[in-house]
Amino acid sequence: MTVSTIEHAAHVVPAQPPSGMESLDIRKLGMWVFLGSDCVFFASLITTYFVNRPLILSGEPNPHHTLGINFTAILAFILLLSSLTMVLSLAAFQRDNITSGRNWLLATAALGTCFLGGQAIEFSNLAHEGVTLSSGLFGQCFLIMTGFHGTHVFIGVIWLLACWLFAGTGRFNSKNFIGVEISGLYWHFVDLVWVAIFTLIYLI
Amino acid sequence: MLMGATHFATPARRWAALISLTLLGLVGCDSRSPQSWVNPQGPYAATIYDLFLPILIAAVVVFVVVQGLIVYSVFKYRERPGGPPAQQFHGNLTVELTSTVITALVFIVVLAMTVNTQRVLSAPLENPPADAIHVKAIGHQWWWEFEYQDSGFVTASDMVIPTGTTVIVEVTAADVIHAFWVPMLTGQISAIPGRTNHIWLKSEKDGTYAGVCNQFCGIQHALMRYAAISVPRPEFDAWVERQRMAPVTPVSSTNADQSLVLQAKGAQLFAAGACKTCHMIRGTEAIGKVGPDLTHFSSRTSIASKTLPSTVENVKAWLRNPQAVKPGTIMPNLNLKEEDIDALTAYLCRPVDPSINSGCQVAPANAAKK
Amino acid sequence: MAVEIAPPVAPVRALDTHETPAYKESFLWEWATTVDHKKIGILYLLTGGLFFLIGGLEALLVRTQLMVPRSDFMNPDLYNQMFTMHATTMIFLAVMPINVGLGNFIVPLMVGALDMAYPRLNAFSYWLYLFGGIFLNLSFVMGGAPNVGWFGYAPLTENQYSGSGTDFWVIGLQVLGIASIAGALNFVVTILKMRAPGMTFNRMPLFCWATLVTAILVLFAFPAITIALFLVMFDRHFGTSFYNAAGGGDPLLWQHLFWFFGHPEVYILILPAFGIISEVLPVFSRKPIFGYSFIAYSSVAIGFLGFTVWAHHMFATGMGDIANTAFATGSFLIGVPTGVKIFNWIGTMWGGSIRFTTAMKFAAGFIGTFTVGGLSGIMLASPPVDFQMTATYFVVAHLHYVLFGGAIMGLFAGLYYWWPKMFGRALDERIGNWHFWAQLLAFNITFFPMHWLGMEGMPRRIYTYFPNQGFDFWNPVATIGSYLLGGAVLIFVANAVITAFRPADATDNPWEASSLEWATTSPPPAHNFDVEPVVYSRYPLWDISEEDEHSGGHSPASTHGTTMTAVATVAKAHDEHGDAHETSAHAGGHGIHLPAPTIYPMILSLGVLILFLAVLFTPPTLKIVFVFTAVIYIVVSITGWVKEVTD
Repeated sequence: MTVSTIEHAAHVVPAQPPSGMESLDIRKLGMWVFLGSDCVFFASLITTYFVNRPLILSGEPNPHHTLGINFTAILAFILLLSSLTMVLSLAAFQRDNITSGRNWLLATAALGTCFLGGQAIEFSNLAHEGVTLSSGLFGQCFLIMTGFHGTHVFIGVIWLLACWLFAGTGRFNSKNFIGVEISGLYWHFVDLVWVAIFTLIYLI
Repeated sequence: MLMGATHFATPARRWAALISLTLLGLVGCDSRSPQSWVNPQGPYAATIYDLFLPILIAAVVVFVVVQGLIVYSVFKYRERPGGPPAQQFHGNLTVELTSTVITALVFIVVLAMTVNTQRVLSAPLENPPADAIHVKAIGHQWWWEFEYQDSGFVTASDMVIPTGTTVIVEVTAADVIHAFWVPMLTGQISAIPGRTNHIWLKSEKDGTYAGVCNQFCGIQHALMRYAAISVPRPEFDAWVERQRMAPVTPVSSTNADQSLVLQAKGAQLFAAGACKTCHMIRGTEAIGKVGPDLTHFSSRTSIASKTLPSTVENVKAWLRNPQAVKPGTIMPNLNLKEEDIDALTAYLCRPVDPSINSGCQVAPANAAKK
Repeated sequence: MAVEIAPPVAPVRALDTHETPAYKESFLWEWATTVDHKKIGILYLLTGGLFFLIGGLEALLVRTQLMVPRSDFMNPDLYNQMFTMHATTMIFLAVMPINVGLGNFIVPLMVGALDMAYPRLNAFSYWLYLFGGIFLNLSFVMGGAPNVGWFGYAPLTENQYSGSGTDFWVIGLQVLGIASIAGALNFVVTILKMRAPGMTFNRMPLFCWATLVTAILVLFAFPAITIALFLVMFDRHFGTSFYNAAGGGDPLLWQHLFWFFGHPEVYILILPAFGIISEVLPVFSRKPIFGYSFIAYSSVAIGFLGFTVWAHHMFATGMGDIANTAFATGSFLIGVPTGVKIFNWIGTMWGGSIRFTTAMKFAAGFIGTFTVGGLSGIMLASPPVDFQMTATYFVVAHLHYVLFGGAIMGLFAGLYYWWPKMFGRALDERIGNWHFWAQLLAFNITFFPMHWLGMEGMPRRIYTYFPNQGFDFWNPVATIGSYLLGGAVLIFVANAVITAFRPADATDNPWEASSLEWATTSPPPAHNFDVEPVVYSRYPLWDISEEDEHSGGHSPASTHGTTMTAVATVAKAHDEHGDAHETSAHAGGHGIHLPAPTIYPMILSLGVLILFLAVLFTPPTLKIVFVFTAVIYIVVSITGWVKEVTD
């Protein structure tokens, strides 16, 4: 490339490729792409459940007889609330309100932990009703699906706590909040997956 | 050929193509393999072959055209001193569209032929002929069980069928996934535990048609063969009657001859020993279902899923050490004494009907006469 | 405005002193901590090459056993391990990693970037692959390699039907899957976000298109096999019955999940080769690719359609005519873009002025052999024909024509083509000529007869066959062919070794190619380009060389001491990319930040392997302790990694 070309370039051509993705930070894009892949992960699990559903509904133990909607509805609400607190946290950092941001992060993590605790209680209740990994189609499909979801929540909680720690060192502020934003993306995804599972398994 | 030149040698490619095509043709037309599905002997396999042949011809034409174009272009457009410069075209919409459309059209035609063939193949299952017989084929690790559903008996490895009659085969498996395939007569279908599949076959000519398990199913997948033995209807009916007969357990008496004494001893050993835990012989205490049903064993043409032809010596070899004949087979080495082996062999190999033959002797032409 | 032309300057050599650190680093440490895409690419190529040889050896053992009927060369269990490991090794440990290796080295250069989007994640992918591959092969000496086939049909993989080899297989594939997904993430983001100014999708090299589609396929296909394998794991060790009919499960569930991954997987294997061919043919025909748009969009179409045809591997499982017709339709449909590509490649050679370098021979040969594989594939796409062909040697012929005659031929074309760029010296052309012809001939001798064996009714995956079944002639022919093929591959190895001792004097652009990787030195400096290139067409270097004839200018990398504007352009570009490279190793005083080397990707990848081992291979009473320890190890590694990023 001649020097003339370079000078020409500096004046005329933007520094970034005209990809239409100028606003999408490179790390955010990475998270979106990963979440797309994770979608297929959960879709495979949900599909496995649905492929087995006719046999599940006609066997014992049986979701209609064992799943307590009320308790799980509360858990769903807790998780939805945690998404709200996540949004609030990000908004706080974007306004340079670090303390508030950190508090909302902690709240999100706490709500996530409550969810996990609730899941643990749910699993143990189900075990008492005879629903375990080896009790048959319902037990295995349901427990593995919600188990993997719970693992995702667990990882999310650890990540949020790490964010909370980092925020304590002044890392996030209105100029640099991408770390919180990305963890928020992950957290909202995990929440959405729960909404899907709850709807498809408990409500239908 | 220029010295040191790095160009494509057309003659070699052309010869290779010519030879391949000739051999391809030869194979297609004159195959002696007993498992060759390009030599169909029944309507199911013939219907498939009738679909395959035009596709093959189309493929060969495309092959010749494409390889020809490649060879031509590498020759004609190779760099030559003083030769023309490369023509700088980026594409040609007409060419691209034409090639797309022609390709798509060819595929549409093949798809249409495919759908039609599928309908022809499925018809006998939807509307089975009145005289069709029904056999249930159950794949086990590593043998095939055949239950003749119209007649109520079970056998293994030899699937005798009447020539010219449709056989509806219900296919399933007892352990892992297998596949039922008699290439000259029919396509293959998976044998899946917990599921039932159906296929049909019909042979137009008397003969023995090789069958294989065509889905990898473990250590002895290779030695899980069987045969569809096609005989005239009267012979088939007679065979069925013999199979349905209750076997007579040999009993020794004071002036019985040596062979009967040996058979009786074999019968006792069989019923009392390890054999009965895995094998069944109708009318005895042996009701095991792990291994093949051995009722009328001597009527079969082979042992261990056509691993060995059925002869007295081979039966003894099997009993001596099954693991040596078919390593990994589920039957363990029982470390039998030689005299027990003799007795068991005498028992198992006693003829079903002494007026017909002497048992445990392969005579393919007479296979269904045993 | 008057055109200012700087005087010609010698190109930057990769071994310039300002790039070597002040202290002496050990060779091993340098390679263990590298996050440079070029070094990681070479690691992938070396490791993949080694596994290719191992997989080849396994194939030779298989063929030796099949040379004569009822051979007792190998017992059936060992044979089953051999063919299982041959396929698993070739697919996951050889072809995919070599694809990734070439992609890793070339793609960032091709798009004008200084590295991949996530260099540390890139290193992590490689180490995870290495450890996964080693682990998988350790099974040979730890209870037996997997012997259930690379496709592991349930319920054969249940623990009452198979042994510990299956656990190695499950864990190995999971680990490799994570490595692949991480790698794919990197490629997607790199190609989407890090292209040089002016490089729209429409101007992007076809190898990048192919890599982009491949990476998207990986991201959406691998989760399916991840789940499928988890379910096997749970069936074997935690009392579930997903695939066990006796417990209410369905063996076909495995097949659906597996092939939903498995079919995109074959496109993952072949698309990069399509991309390589699309680069090599125009360069050596000296004309642009015929039908760029079609080739680009058909790759996308193939990628998308690839997800709709998985059950054509299951035609004979009794799904019924309607399902079979649906999947057959999709399979024929996907043949259209593939078929037209072939005509486009021929159209590229047509009217050209072809230089028959070894790379070009492999590219031209690819078109021929891949076509054969494509044609046999069309036959298999028709369910009734498939009823006679599936699981026979016909399929073995088909798959080797597309995977060896296709993917491997394409990879060799790429290796010969990009070798000077990667290693600073070209492979020898005369030895390459021997390699090509030996391989082409031996390949056809080995695999063409398998079409006939399939038509004679020879099943696949059998450790022996009986005489007089029609298999006695072509089997020894194929076996001899396979030995010759092994010899041909060794010619390549010899080529690589012999040329390694030659001086590294390759020029920037020895093939007179047009894409950006040739606009820098061979090999490139650590920071790839002295000046971030700007692109105005699909063939940047061909435009420049035309310009050169008129204005006497020169290639980008040789323009030293450029204007501040150019440097500012580079610096500005990186900031606006949301620079994740906080730590910097300045290169050449150009203000270019490179990520620092780090050991944490390797440490963390070991942790992943340890976690899987803890879950499966520890006694039940102590399992929770081991798993907990593994989790702590992982958390510590991640912490170390993150701390390096933020310090």
